This record gives sequence, C-alpha cells and structure tokens, in this order.
Amino acid sequence: MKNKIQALYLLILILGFVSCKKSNKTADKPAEVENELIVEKTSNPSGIDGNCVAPLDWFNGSVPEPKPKDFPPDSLKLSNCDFHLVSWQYFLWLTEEVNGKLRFESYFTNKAIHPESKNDQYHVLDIVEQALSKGLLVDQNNRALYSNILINDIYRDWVLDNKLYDPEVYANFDPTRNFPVGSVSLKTSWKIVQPGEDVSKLHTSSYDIELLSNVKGVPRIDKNNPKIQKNVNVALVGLHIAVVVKGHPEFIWASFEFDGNAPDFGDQQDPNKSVSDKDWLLYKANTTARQSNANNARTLSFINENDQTLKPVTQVARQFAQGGGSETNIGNIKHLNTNVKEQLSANSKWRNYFEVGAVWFNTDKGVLKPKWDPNIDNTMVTGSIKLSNSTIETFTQNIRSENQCFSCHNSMGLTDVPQGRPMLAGKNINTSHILLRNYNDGREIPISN
Amino acid sequence: MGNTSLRIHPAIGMARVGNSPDYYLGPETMAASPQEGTEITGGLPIKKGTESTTINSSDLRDAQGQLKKQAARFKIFQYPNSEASVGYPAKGGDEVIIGSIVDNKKVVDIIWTVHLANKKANCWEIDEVANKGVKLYENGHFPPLRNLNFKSASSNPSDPTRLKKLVIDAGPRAIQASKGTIPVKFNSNTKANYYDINSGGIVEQPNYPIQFPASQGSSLNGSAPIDYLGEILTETNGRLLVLGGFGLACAFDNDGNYDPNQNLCKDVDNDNWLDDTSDGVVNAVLVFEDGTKHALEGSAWVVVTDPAYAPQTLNVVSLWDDVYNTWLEKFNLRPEVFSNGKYNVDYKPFFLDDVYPTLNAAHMQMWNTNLPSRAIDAHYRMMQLTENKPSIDIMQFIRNPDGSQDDKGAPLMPLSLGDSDKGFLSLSRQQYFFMQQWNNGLSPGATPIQLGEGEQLDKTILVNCLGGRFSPGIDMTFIARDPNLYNQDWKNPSIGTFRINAKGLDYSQVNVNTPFLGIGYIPLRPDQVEPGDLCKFMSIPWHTDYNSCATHTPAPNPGGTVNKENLYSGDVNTTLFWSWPAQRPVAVYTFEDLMANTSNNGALPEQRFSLRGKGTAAVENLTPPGCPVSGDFDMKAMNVGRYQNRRDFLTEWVNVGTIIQGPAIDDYPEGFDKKYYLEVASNFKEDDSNEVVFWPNVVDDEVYPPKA
Repeated sequence: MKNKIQALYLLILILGFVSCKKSNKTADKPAEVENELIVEKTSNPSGIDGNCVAPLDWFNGSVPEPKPKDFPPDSLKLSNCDFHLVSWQYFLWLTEEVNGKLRFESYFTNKAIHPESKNDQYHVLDIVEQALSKGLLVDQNNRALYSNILINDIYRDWVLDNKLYDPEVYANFDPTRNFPVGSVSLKTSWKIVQPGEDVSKLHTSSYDIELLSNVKGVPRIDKNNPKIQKNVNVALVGLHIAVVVKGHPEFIWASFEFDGNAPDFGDQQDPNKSVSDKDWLLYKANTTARQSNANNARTLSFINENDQTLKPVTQVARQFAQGGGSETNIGNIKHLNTNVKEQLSANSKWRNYFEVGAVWFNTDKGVLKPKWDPNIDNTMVTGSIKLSNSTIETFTQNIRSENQCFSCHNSMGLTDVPQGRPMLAGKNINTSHILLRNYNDGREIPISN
Repeated sequence: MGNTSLRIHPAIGMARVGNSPDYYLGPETMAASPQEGTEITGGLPIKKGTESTTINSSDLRDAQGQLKKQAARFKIFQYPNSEASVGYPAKGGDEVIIGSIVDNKKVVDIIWTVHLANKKANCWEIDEVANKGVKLYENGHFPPLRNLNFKSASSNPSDPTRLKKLVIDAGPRAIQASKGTIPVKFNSNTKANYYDINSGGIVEQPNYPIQFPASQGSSLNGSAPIDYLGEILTETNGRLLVLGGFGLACAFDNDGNYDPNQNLCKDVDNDNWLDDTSDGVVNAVLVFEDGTKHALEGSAWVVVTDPAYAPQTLNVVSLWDDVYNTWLEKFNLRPEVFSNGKYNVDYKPFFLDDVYPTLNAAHMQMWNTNLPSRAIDAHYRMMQLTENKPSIDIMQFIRNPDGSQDDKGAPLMPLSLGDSDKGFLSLSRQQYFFMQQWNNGLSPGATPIQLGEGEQLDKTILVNCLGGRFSPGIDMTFIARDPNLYNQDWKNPSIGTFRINAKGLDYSQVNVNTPFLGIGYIPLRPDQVEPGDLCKFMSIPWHTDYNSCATHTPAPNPGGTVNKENLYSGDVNTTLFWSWPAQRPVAVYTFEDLMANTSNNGALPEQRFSLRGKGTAAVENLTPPGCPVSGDFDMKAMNVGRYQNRRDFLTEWVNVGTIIQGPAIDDYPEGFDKKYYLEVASNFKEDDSNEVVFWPNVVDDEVYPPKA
C-alpha cells in the first residue's frame, strides 16, 4: 500500500511539473518555465503550486515539528503551497496525541500572559459569542458552540518578558516590533455531543464549560460569575491556527474544520435557493442561502435555561470555499487536502478535517507595519483572502469589511478603550486580540468603524 | 452710503415646510455646539416672538397636532466702511432694527421684498442612474431634462410653455415692517408687489404673471393643488420672517392639468409632479425718520426645504463645510489658510471651531442611526479629545478627500454614503486639513477667527444644513460648490461673503402672458440666479428622496451593482450604510419608550425606525402602483425604515417625530441623562415597521417585526 502511495506521489509530482509550465507561480509571481527553477524555488520538493502535496515523512511516525525559523524568508523561494503545507503541518502536529492528550491541549490559555497565571492550562471552554456579531452559533440540538483561545510558550514568554500584560507598557511599546517567530495562538471550536449522537468521525474530548445564563435578558456567559459544568463531552469542529514564521510577523492565519460541518455556497449562489439538499452537522437540508448564517444577536433566547437549549438554530454554510483567493490558492488547498487525507492512516480522525484556507502577506508587495488595515490597503494580502471559519466567524462572512482574518487582526489603533486609558496607537502586535482584549479590560475588540 | 455699509444676514436663510399655519423660528445656534449657561446644545429652533428662547417638545406641533413650519429670520447689519470691513471676517457689524441709528439717521421702518418660486419641474434631472452630480454639466453638457414628455413643449427649458406650465412663480411680495403684523402671502389670490426705487414705496404689479400651474382640483392620496408657497411677516423690530409652504406635492398630466392619479416611480426625478418648496431673493430698504430711504445694494436668499427632524444633530459634513470650502479655494477668502492652490502647512486650526465640530458630529450620529455600542463608544472617546495633539494618529481613521479612498468603507470615517459618484463620504478638504494640522499638534495656541454677529449667522444657518452627499441632498445640492453661484464682488462692503449671484429683476417690465422667470442659473455657467434656481435641482417632490434616504449599499459599489449572481461573491459591498442621517434620522430612541420603563434607571430603550407608520414593514420586489416592474435586485433588508410605496410618504411625513435633547422635552424626568437626544412628537401611534438591528446590516439580513 505504501509503495502504491509513493508511486502515486511520484506520478503526481511529474504531472505537476508538466502542468506547472503554465500555471506554477506563487500567489502573485509570474510563472516560471524551467522545471529546475521550480524545484529550486520551492522550499520543499512537495511545495509546488498546482501539485501541492504533503511530504511522506509526516505520515511515518510522529509528525515532524514545524520549523518556523526555517521558513524561507525570501518570497522568491516560496510558493503558495508552502503556506498551506506549513498550516497543515501545524494542524497535524498540534493534533497529535502526546501523553494521552492532543498536543494543543497542553498549550497555555490566554490567561497565561499574566505572571500570576503564567502556567494556566485549564482549558475551560469559555467563549460562546462570535467575533463582532454578538451572535451565538446554535447547533441542530439547540446548544451553543463553544470556543477557547490558547497560546504556546513562545507567545506567552515573549509577552511576559516584555510585560505586555501591563496596559501602560503595551501603550508605549514600539509600534514596529513584531511577535517572535514561532509564536502560536489558537482558537478552538467545539460542539456539545448529545447522548447517542454519532460522533465517530469527530475528535471528541471532555472539557469543563461555562454555562449560559440570562445576562441583561439574553443568553450569555456571566463573566462575573460563570457557572461551570464539568466534564462535558464535546467534539472538535473548528480550529484556527495563527503562527508567526520567519518573514511573516503578520502571522499565517490558517483555519481547519470538520468535513461534515456545513456546505459551501455554490457559484453565484442564489439567495432564495438551498445551499445543500443534505443535512450537515450544522445545517439542515434545503435551507436557503439567505436563511443561512443568520445572526441571532437580537433573536436569541433560551428554550430552557436548565438544559441550556437555545433558539433559533443557526443554519451554517460556508460562503467562501477555501476562503477564496486565486485559482492557484484554491487549487492548492483542494489538492493538499485530498493528498493529506489520502496519506493519513485510515483510522485517523484527522482524515475527517480539512484546511479551509490560510491567509498571509505577499512580502514583495508589503510587510506588516503599524496602522495597517486590509480594508484600506489589501495589496499584500494573499492566499485565502476571504477566509472565515464557518463555526467561528459564521455571521461575518457576508460583511465585506469583516470577512477575512486581517479585517480584525490588523495593526490599526484602538479608540474604544476604557475611560482613563489612553487610546492605543497602531502597532504591529495589535494583530493579536489576546493582547488587545487585555488592554481593553477584557472587552470586545472592536474593529474600527 | 456714507460711512456705513449694510448687509442682510444670513446670506442664505433656511425656512422649512410644515402642514401647520403656525411656526417657530429656525435655529440661530449651531447644531450640537455647547451653549453658555445651558445644558441644551445648539441647533434647537426658537420660539416665535422671542429673541432666542429655544422651543420645547410641545412647540413642535400646533393644537391640531400639525407640524409647524420653521421660519427663516433675516436681519440687517451695518458695518463701518473701513479697510477692516472688506475682508473676511468683516470687523464689527451691528444689527439695524427700527430705532437704530445709521449714519446719524434714525431708522423708522424697514421694507422687505421677497420673491419665491419653484423651478423643479423644468430643471434637469439629478440622473439617479448616472449618479455623476455636477459632472453632468461639464463641457457644455446637460443631464436629461425633467418632463421631457410634457405637452407639445420642446426639450428646451426656455420653451414658453414649459416656463409657464412647469414653473411655480408666486412673484415678489413686499412688506413694510411698521405694518407687518399681517402676513403677506405668496399665493394665487394676492397681487405681486415690490419696493419701487423710483416711487420710493411699495407698488403693486397687477400684471405680474403669477404662476401656480395645475392648481385646480381636489386633494387625493397625497397629491394636492399648490396655490401657496409661503408668506412673509415681520417682527416688531423690523426683522423679516419668511415662511414656506405646507409640504404639498402636486401631480399633473402632460397637458399641465392637475391629475392626482400620476405615478410616483422614482426617488428623485419624478415627472408630472410639483412640490411647494421654493427659494428666492430677499431685499431690504431702510426708511429713515427724515423720510429718506436706502435700498440695500446686496441681497440675501431664502431657501424653503424639508422639516428639520433632528435639528440638534450636526452633520459630519455640513452645507457650511462645502460652501466654506468653495470660498476658501475659489475666492481667496482666507489666504492664511489656502492660497496659490494649496493649504498653508503652518496654519494653526482653532480646535473648537475647526476640529471639534467634526468629532462631535460623529458622536451625535448615534441618535439618528443604529450604530453598535462599539462605534458609539469609539465616537464618544473621540469627542472627548482636546486641542492637544492626540495621543495617537487620528488620521488613520479618516478618509482622505483626495478621491483615493472613496470606495473604502470601515475603518475609514465618515462611514456613511458618499457624494455622487463616490461610494463613501469624505470630509471637505478644509475639514480634513484642519484635522491633519491638529493631529500634528498645531492647535494649541491657535486663535479663533472673530466673526461678527451677522457673519456668524451666515455660518450657523449653513452649519445646520446637510453637506457632503449631494445626490442631491435635501437643503441644497452640488451647486453649493460652483463658484458661479455666488456674487464674486464680495470685497464690496455692501455685498460681503457667501452671497448668491442674484439676477437683477425689474418688476416694472412684466407681461401678464409671458413667464417672468427664465432658465436662470445653470451649473458651471455664468448665468445669474433667479428665484427658484436653488431648489430646482432637488428631488421632485422632496418627499420621495427623503423617504428613500434611509440606508443603501454604496454607489458606485466596488464590485458592481449588487445582484442575485454576485450577492455572495464577496466582491460587492452588500453592507447597508446611512445616507444623511443627521438630516434624515433612520433609527431613533423615543422618549415614549424611555418613559415606558422608568424602572430601568433611565437606560436608553431599544431603537425604533423614525418612519414606522402603516406601510413601512419591509417587503421586497414591490412594484408601486402604476410603476414599471423593476429589474433591480431587491431584498427586504434594503427597504427597512421607509414607506414601501413612495406615495404613502406624501401624507405621512407630517407624522414623523423630531429628535431633541432631553431637557427640552416637557416633563423630562429630573434624574435622567441630560445628554440624551430623543424622538418626541411622533404621530405614529403604532409601530408597523421592523425591528431595528444594530449595524452592520447587509442586504440579505432577515427582518423582524418591531418590538412591542
């Protein structure tokens, strides 16, 4: 079997070289015509646009730890595929089981940016509100989806070393300084598993969750006094991975989902036609596009607070398959997703997950600088330029100024700050909302509008 | 005249229609500006018969519940003839009233002559499809003419039939202040009269061709014959008050006969319709104790437009900003600010006058729009900034008016819809410049320019009007930026600044069968301005534009016009933005709702749409009666907050509430926030519209019934 895979891989590689004569290019680079050059200009023999495949060694034993410092800084040597490869590598590496837990389950929580809680690894699921929209994703069983935010040691240590948890230090921090290479932050997305529910294709785990209660008349987590339910069986449905690799302090923002979450909108999707005639985990068959992704911020209510059931149910659909972008980008993601799934062992649950997309900068066109927002200048944004995770940014997919990672994770200043605290200047590290939220006393981070 | 020059202020006065015969006076303080000695900010109208006492909520309607008109008040000021009085600002300026001394002579009376007309139906279209504004007049071109299908008339706007049948011309009316307690009406029952310089008195002109076309018939479904454009009266001290019409719209057929069954299928350019807004020239004559008289050389202008439903909400870009920009850049008004084609990088803007109003205006939008709390908080924070260099670069959030960012929405401000051919609104160039200078730390130590009372009035009146989005806007349109509109002889101390380039009108030479008014002013051409020339570019009738201007997607849209195929492409902007919310409130907090739950410690209630009577519940793909089926893409959320059938608003505009500050509301609870601006005096007893959902809203949003 393994030999067959290797043979297939070689065949694809060869065919890919042929096809690359016409189509190989970085997201924004002209195509190269010499096969030799193609090999030389990709960081990895498999990182070829049009034939984006994962290296065999990811699937032989442990997943190699990603080497963000070795990521080729020279964009001439980078392909679009390379970014998706490193995204997938992180995903597989982070979801690899180590000592009975997935690797990311040993990450620090976002509370670890404070010295007094620097070792916090209590992964309570404590987020239900979707970014910006104030809506909650209510699944087909009338339960809210949950999230939490995690960071790695590089991220945490750098923040602690620089005392960026201190608002005053943060306010005065050099606007041009960047997160160190290797910084990782994650946002997870979990569905509560119902008794008897078939979750055989999903990664499941047991987490404590913060329960909803009526906060000012609407179901929310009472952050002043959250009630905790212990050991709730949950299934992973989404994972954001933001990682700084060499030459990309803006972070590569990659997002993964469970295959069965939600359908993609069709080409020229008619708002009055259904997105899919099948039931999905977060979508009821034959729901029209206009009824999908309906923000429930104003309509949400408990069916029963005791059992935490809510209405209305959210019908989720993915507006931009692969997060959009160029044909090369879309092709690479599709190809790589297929390739990884083929190479993963048949019993790996990660075969049931896929990279939605990833977005980063074409550094030939621009680099991260303070006061940057893609809604003002999007020339350097490349990859999946309309990337959302359908379980995390469900309700902002159709808002043009909010429909990609950098829409919110950019380096603009912040004016909506607590009284008595200075407005925050534009800074490169404002891309991280963990720090912004801390500066803002835990309040929602507004995009500027 | 001797040692003194005389001018009428404001240079351009604003009257507003109402269905009541009663009135209050237009505001003489700037919207939202702090006022000494009171918590009530500027912009509130003034009680009639008072100098400056601002109205309360009970003053907005008469005893029958009808919406009062807003009168434009004109005053005369005298300036010493000196070097100082020929610049801007002119130094000094004392008001002249009956009893004042001018050049050692006592004023015993003032004679005013005003001429009102409405030329909308014989004007060129704003051209909603082209959406190019004044560019349509460039290089000798014109947009299409309105009422091209009108009876046997050519497409030439000077065609006598068109001038007669499509122009409302009430002619001139004069009033002598000493006898001014009886209003003089601009209607079809009274004769034209005017001050005749030769005879030295008011003379009647029975042959003046007063024109009230299509004025025979009965009112039906919002169409009513128009035979009245307003009236003039005077205060006992001699000041002039101009009142406008009753807010009527009138339909006529292609033969020029009243026909209430005409359709109303467009937002701006509706053929076969008239309305009773108007504009025209204002002249004055002083009568002295010795029997001599002095006719003021310069004139003022009055414009009658829609009601002010949110008088204290400052526009982010006001009409003043556009007029001022034109005068700075075209008339060398203040060379220390702008000269030789560029702004002076050393100029120190005075924060409170040049910068703060823009920041404050952004904050004030919360009272008329469905801004989310995060935006409200951010605006509030900006409004609290001082003259000191801001701690962060504010300009990162401000759209550059150089045109490079016209299609960029959030995070750039202002976040409302733009001018013709511009997706989003930009500050006027001097607003942006002043803000840059302040942002660079140049405001501390700056000194304000000292406007005299009269020149301040010129500014105040325009500050309280809509600028920026002239497609076409509601008070005045893009002509405000055309130097040809103005009298360029502004250094003549008897003329002064911001004066309309009025055409001299000889009322002694009239023919009862020949229209007196011609084409008049044409944008980008030197033709002088006749009565009716300012309002003629506005929507006909104004109601349809007002009704429509709630929220829309940007136009032009960076991804092309929204349609069924590209709706989810991500390339088109499907987010809905406000048109001109300071002038046309979209979502409001009502005083009634606040009081319905006083146990809530005075917390703001949920919002409602300002327009919420029967027929406002959003539907999609509605074809108004008699109108062609539109192929335009349409979804419910694109239609919230307005009457679905334009025609309904012709009768419903009188029921719209007005937003005023808490302390100006009768029975406002003592402990409640005095900085609330709440809707009062709405006649909508039931809310039949939709629930207000905070921004951002997109075209495919579901819409919900209004809250109980």
